[in-house]
Amino acid sequence: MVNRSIEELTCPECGFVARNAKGLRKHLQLEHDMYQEKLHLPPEKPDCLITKLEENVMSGWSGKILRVDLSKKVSTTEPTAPYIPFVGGRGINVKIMFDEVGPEVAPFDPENRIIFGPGVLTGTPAPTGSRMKITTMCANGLIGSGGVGEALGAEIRFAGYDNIIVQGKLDKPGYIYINDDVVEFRDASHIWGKETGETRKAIKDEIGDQGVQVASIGQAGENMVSFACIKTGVFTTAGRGGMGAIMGSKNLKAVAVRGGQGIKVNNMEEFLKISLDIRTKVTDFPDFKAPIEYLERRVREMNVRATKEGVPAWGNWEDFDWDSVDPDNFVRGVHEYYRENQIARIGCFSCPVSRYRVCDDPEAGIGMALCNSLPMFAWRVWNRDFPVIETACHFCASYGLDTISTANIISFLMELYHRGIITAKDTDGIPMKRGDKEAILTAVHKIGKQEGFGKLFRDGILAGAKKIGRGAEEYAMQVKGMEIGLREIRGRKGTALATAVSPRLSEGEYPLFEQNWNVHKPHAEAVDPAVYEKKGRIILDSVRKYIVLDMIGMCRNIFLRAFEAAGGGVILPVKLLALATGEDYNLDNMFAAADKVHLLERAFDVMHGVRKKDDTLPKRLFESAVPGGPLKGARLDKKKFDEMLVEYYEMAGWDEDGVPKEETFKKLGLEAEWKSFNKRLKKKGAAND
Amino acid sequence: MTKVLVIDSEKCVGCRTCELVCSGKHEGEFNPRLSRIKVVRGENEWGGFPMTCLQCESAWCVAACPAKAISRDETLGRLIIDYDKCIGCRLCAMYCPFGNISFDSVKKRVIKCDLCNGDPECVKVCFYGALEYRDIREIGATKQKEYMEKIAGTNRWSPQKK
Repeated sequence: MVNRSIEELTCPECGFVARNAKGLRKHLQLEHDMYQEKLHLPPEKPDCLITKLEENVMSGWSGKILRVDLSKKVSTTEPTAPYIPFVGGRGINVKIMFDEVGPEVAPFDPENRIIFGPGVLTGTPAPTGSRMKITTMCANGLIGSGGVGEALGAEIRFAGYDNIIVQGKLDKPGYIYINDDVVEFRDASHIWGKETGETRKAIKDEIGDQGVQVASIGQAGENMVSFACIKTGVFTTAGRGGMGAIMGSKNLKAVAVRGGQGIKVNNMEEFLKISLDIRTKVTDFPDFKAPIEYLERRVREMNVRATKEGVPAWGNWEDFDWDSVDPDNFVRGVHEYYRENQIARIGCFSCPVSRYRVCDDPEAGIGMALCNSLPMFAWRVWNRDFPVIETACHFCASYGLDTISTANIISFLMELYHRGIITAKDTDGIPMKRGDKEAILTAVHKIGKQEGFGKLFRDGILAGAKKIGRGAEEYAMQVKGMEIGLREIRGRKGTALATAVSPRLSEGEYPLFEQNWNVHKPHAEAVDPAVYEKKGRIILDSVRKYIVLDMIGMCRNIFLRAFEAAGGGVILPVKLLALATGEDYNLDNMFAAADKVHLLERAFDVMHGVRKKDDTLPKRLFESAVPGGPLKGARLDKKKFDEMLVEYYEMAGWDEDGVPKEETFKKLGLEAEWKSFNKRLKKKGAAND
Repeated sequence: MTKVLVIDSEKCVGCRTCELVCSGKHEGEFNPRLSRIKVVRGENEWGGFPMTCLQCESAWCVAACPAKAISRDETLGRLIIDYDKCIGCRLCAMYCPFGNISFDSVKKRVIKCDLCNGDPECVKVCFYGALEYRDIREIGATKQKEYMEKIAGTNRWSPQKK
């Protein structure tokens, strides 16, 4: 029995002193109605630590950060106040990662952290106030933040925390259950090996509360596949960077959260009024007002963008017979699929415009294809059947695989097969024919379960290509070890730059800015995708806006992608943040905070070995031209690309090798961080010599 | 004329904004557990069923209350709790057949929907159309209209099809 101090065993409500932790929990339940749910009592030797309930005095923030140490099986809380210069969400995540994960730590070490960071307005009725960032050192050794929606972020706020830090490693598979101030370390041997959805369900049933929100990994994460994702609900995923593998390396199957505390804001009446105003503006926006359902519109948009604007790359950046496509009907069977398989509609927490469709796929079960997954499993793998897209995406979600990386690998195998570098023998007897349903689904299964040729890609596409040999490496499309997404970056210089420098893993971060180029009025001439000049500025501008929204906890898809040009953007969210916290937040100091975060992310990556030579694209993209379609003939010039990079470095305050400069740190008031960065960098340099 | 909250659960996607604004308005903090309206989910992780006090005409909670603290406000057609009389026995919560009365464990009192004095906050933020505040004599009007539109294409009396 663990000895506990009187303070830990005293009831915060009435001063009753319990004999042990179990007694206190029982007392709280019986006398104070604290835990209305079915109570799961901890095992005889309690693994949980009951922290003292504290009076919440901050408005906006919850005021506490929870730190869970899996090795010692203890949890502690610390105040949020010292981290306030980094606002919240991704900002605080990055600051903690920078402080605590040094260059000596490798991704799968217990010392690596996974930080769950809901924004300051997550869990409030601020429209789309559901976003959370999960930050960790990704499987490729660099910092990455994955955004998720649905209700997990809000539930963490209701449990009374601004951020949750998970560190250490469990000795055997387990999961943690955070219920307000009680953190339980539970056994997960019975759910180890289960799919993400089954895991969620099993945990909810075990706890006996359907309101519990769960972040879980599937088989891919358990096997530490370097592009495994963390699934936090039916459709939201922290996809890129192999965060699931990091959880798997900690033997952590899931994180379950339930909360019953509130979030206070400074000026409730005004906050409700303004958030309702913004909500009305968002819903009145034509894109969201249209009666067409979201995904259907999205597929239609995708067709047009693919065939008339040339947005996605075809296959593995290969040639395609453009005349053979009917621009309005590239992807077949959307309506039929939905008519037969749609079972419900679903939305994110606190979002006024998400109208997603949950489908019960005849082969793969319940799930939903979303965002980049749709085009990845269409153009990149030469597939025209919508049902195959859905099936593949549902399977990826069940195994806990990143759809972008998985489709990239399938596309890569298809090119190798097409070129005759591999035959059906290399892929367990399945010919990797372009667009073949069997080839796509088999590859997903093999990678997810880590069987047969799927094992080749456990450590990513580059490692897989090396194992295949025969010159396959040349066709592996990756940046810094991370598989790149779907865009035809030879024709879009800004996207090319973003893909190369993005601190969050090649693609998925910045290229959304394309739609908003019309708001960059001072740099109107740089709006043309074919121009190299001033691209650095535009992209840095987008980066800062993204970080601002990530710190606040609102949806970039709504506010930047769709709404920016109509006067939305970051202005309205920052206004809400100021109202909620009562602090004087405006665009200037929010952008300054975003600069700090951007700088620390880069400093983290530099500490882990990234320099200018890594901020580049696969060689073949500089050597070939776009073979056809609307962008036919476009090339990416290496020299001009380097100029773009240098411009970006200059704007961001980094030197010509991409290392943040001392004066940039000082200008942003990060003297202490500079000292620590410099010290660790020198130490690493000395170790390498 | 008396107005009532009309709930159409089929339209609810489960965004739970109604819970937030309800607790914000009544308790000054965003806390779904202190909300008078609750989006109930079963086994499924999607959709939802918004549940709130239905302001019953012949209410069990009124009959159950030993302190006679719950009374009917005829102008707004609602049941209100007089906290001066309430003894906090929670009998009303136990008797309510729908479970629409909950208990605030901090302030130690039962809470239920009071229709925001005739201007329900939850209805304002429901952009999916799952919540409406409308005349009690027309509670089915929206559904009737929608159903009519849905079948109009196949209806043999519809003007499109001769």
